Amino acid sequence: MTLGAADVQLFNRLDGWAGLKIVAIVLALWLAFVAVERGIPFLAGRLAGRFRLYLLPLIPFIRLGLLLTALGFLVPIVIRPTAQNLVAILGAAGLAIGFAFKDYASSVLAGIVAVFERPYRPGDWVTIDGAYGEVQSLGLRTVRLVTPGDTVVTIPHARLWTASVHNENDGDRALQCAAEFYLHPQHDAAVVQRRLRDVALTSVYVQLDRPIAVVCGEKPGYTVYRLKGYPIDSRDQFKFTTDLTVRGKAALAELGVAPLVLPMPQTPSA
Amino acid sequence: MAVLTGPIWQYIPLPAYAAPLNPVPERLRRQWKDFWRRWRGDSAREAQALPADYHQLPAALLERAAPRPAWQDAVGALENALCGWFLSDSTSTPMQVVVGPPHPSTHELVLELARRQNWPVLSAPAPEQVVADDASTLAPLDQTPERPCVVPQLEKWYLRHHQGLSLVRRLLGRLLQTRRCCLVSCNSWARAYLSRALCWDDLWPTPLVLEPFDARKLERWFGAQLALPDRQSLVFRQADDRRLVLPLAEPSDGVQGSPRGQTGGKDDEPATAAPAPFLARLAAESRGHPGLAWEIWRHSLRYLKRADPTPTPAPSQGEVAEGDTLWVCPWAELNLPGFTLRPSQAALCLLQNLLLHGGLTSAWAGVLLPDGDEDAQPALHRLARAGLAGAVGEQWQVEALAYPAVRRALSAEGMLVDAL
Repeated sequence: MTLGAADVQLFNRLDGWAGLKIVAIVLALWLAFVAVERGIPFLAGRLAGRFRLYLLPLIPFIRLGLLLTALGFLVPIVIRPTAQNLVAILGAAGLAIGFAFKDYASSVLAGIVAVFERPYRPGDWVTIDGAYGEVQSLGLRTVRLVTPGDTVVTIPHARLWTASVHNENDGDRALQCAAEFYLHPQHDAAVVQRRLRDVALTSVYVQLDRPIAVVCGEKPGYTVYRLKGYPIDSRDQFKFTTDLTVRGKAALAELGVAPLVLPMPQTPSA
Repeated sequence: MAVLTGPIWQYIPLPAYAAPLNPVPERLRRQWKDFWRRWRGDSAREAQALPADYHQLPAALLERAAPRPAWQDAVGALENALCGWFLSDSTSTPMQVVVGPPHPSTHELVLELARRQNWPVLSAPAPEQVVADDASTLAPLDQTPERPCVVPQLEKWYLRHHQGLSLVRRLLGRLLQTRRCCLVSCNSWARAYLSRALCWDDLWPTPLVLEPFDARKLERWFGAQLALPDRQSLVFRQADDRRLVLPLAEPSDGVQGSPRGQTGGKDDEPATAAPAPFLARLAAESRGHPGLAWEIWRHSLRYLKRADPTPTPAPSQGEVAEGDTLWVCPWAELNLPGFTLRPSQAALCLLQNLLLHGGLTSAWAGVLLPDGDEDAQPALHRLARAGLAGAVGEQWQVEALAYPAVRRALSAEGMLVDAL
């Protein structure tokens, strides 16, 4: 059997109409990406808090679906989708990616893995490479965090292969917070423990369906208490910790328990 | 359809409480409306679609059409529910708990029962006594131990303050220790909070609650309130489609006619027909609480005041005079207080605290918020302007008409809500 010229032709002939279709598909894809990127967070912001974590994780799935759909339309326009052509294209793409876009492709692949494995989702509070913040968005190549200091950190998904990801809430609304109290060791620990527990129980931010714990430890020269609880919404973690600290200090002062005061470091005199 | 003739007022165990639900299309419509309003970020109230001829009822007519409930029947039902407890040797269950919504406050029913039975009442302490863990507030427990005592407002025995839980612990510990017969009345919100914060569910007996009022019960209750002769001529129709909302009264030859909704009607809608959709919506929005339903019902009533002096044609036999017809505002045009934008966290915390404590003074409302007075005062006045909260004397409370919206908002934000 002999192959005709049409059989070995890799690419379709791209006339003006095909070019127009490609441009239209790319434009539609870009518009859809923008709509998803802006629309869903906007929608999540307008709805009540508990819906936010249902909506935001949909973004990467929708983006991936859009991308695959667009590729499904684009590929038959550009190449002739025969088995030989696909093998040739994949081989060439493999070579190109291996040499030129290795890191980029690694990040894209890790991004696809992240969509399904879900080590982080929009709305999660994570630590990656020492950066702590709320996952704002998952791009094709990177994940964007917003730190408590309002700094945006962009991290390639490829870090998934090598770095550990610490996820504080893992798709849940609540995450554990702790307020620490360093006290002079001469006090009634049981009374302090009860009072600190009441501090957490009466916080307006606390999620009462989650456990509250007071962990006490005796150290040389002081006693440390860690008051742990869950805020209703992970976004309130700093308000919650502040509330525990402020009211905890007031409660301890009423009990007459003195905080640990370390001597100030001596500054060299002028 | 069979006519229901069971008691209107009945107490049931809390786990059996099932609030009436809105029909699904109605629920979807409301959710879409809420979403659309928030999407637009429009704070303007919706335009009043009802013609301007429909006016709110003057006080005298309102008292005639929807008289203030006496709640005596509710007290009687509570007495029936508890008679087995207080008449028998009740040492096996020394404590009984009655839970109710904030509107009307259950403590008034319990106080009335205490008056009838001549039971001693343990008055609620002041907030200052709560934070001071003032043990003298429990002294009356040592008096007349042979009779059951009544704690009518458990919601006033604690505060959401780091020193606010000791006294309620002391009270409950004392009651459990002495095994004294005691009837405790508790706001449903306080019960939700205390059962989580103090893990008392396994120590408390199953609380009693008033059986929820569905549309049929509301129809019977409102009808029963209209049984007096001067009220029997009143006809309640939906303002938009003129459908009857309450069945017509039976013609009475005596002083008092039969209550509406319990016998067959004679007009276009017999009493055995399904209750009006408005009542179904009212039952669902008020979550089966008769006090709330009554407040909304009063708010919905209108009368028609003709601008033109055209005389109303005399009613033919079997018809009802136009002047005796009261119009029920369609639900969509009730303009109940609500949130036009997503409420602020401070506002929600404040509203929740008002519900948890059955009302607070502005000073204590400020103390219980993380940011204190600076946040509470402006927030309270903003809430009052929006019709969400109001002050009765010095006590700020969530307005009854706003209660459904406030509860929905707290629930949507994942905050603690009551079980009723």
